[in-house]
Amino acid sequence: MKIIFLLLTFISFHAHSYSNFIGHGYTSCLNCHYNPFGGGPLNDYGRVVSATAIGSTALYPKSVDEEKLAYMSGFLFRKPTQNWLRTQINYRGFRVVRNPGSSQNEEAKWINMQLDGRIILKFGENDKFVSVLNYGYAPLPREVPKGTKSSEWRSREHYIGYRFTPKFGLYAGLMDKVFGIKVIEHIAFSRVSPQATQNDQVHALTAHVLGEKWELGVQGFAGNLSQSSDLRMKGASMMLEKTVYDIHRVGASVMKSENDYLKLLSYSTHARLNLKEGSSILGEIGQTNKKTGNGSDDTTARFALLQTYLRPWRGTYFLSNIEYFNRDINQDDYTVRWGPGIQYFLSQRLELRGDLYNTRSFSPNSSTRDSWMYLLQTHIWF
Amino acid sequence: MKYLFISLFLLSSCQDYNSNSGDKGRYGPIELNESDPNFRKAYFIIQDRCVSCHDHKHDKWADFTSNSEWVAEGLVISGQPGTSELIDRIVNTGKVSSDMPPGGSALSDAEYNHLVKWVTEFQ
Repeated sequence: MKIIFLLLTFISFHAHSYSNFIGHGYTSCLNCHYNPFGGGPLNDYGRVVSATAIGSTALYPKSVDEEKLAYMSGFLFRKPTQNWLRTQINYRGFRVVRNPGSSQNEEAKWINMQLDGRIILKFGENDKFVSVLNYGYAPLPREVPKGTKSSEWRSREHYIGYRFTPKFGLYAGLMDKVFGIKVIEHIAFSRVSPQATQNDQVHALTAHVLGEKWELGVQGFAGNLSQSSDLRMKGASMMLEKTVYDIHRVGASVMKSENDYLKLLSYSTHARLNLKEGSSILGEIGQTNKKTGNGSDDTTARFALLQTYLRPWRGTYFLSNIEYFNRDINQDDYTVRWGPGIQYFLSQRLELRGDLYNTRSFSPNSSTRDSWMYLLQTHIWF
Repeated sequence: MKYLFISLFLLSSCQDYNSNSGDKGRYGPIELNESDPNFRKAYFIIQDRCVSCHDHKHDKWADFTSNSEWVAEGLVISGQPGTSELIDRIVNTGKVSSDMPPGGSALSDAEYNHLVKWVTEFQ
């Protein structure tokens, strides 16, 4: 027990991005991730938390106690022998079935969504300097034009970070945009509308400030430098979160970005509520104003997200997801997507997840048929 | 080791396909070869709601800048929205095989009604 305590206390306080882990008392992503805004590789503390608080112990004999689990949380089940290098491997794949049961329209396939190798160099007290390279495979989206020559093996993120003090750090390189709640569902309207999906990383300079009861991120970005300059979304974003009643977080985000053809202004407010014992509620509501260079569009879309994570026992989370999207707030048409899910961390390093989605669009005088889809997901990391 | 990492860092390639990859085609300057007053708005609706898939993958809808191209492709029958495949496959029609666009939000009433108007008043 003493060793877990030492690990939790002295190994870098800086964790895979599950915003709902506020239900375990983690208000800041920096606790468990190298990236203070979550996502990407877990730090040592995050790996120990994953092994000793998140993952089920169903697969282990009783002789394996929490202390052993903590020791086994390192790369290839070993405790690191040095302090400056960390390596990780991460895989996520799922079977997606659209229109299940339909003789005409059922479409089922397995998608290898992510296979990443991660190298982290870190130096100084509390990992003052970090250098993160996250390289691997991700498929091109299904809507990508046939014949597009874009590699499916690429850097998901690479950045360096320096914490001048425990409360202030600067990060530079390719990283996710700082905006709203970073849920893992990259089709979520709250991520698609402001263009903050899994492929929308940008070359950026990000400042992170951690206060006693608040957290601030300010980011300036020059777009994805691998793209041609006319397509790069250049801009800035800011997110502020405040801790309320010691265990919850409320926040607000704003992001302005543009390329030669498109201007976007997105803003949202969100809340992450800790229901304790690992359970939580996430909510976000926001809007995106979109102006196109050829005058085809000048509209404001509205999006909302509500997710609940209920943890009846260790390793298991019952999920519910409700999303709302209105493409143009001057029109009464809107789309609702909702559904239940279950997330099971069978052991450390192994997450199994099932989600069911129902989507339906409504107009003042009509509505579409129900559209159903389910996902069965496997997530493994070493 | 340090130099190896720096080299990897500098040489590592980024994914260049993201939410903005099609912006030039969708939102860039466009010259339309059509005098039909309903065409321009219909063009932009299709650009915004359809071409992310119907461009190169199945079709080349982004290049259709006149009514005649839609007719030639057999997707629109002049004056007959009810039998035009383009209209028939849109989810708003409520038919079992009508599932476009899949996954995302359906066309709004205003968007759908304009496409019907465009085909009905085809010039």
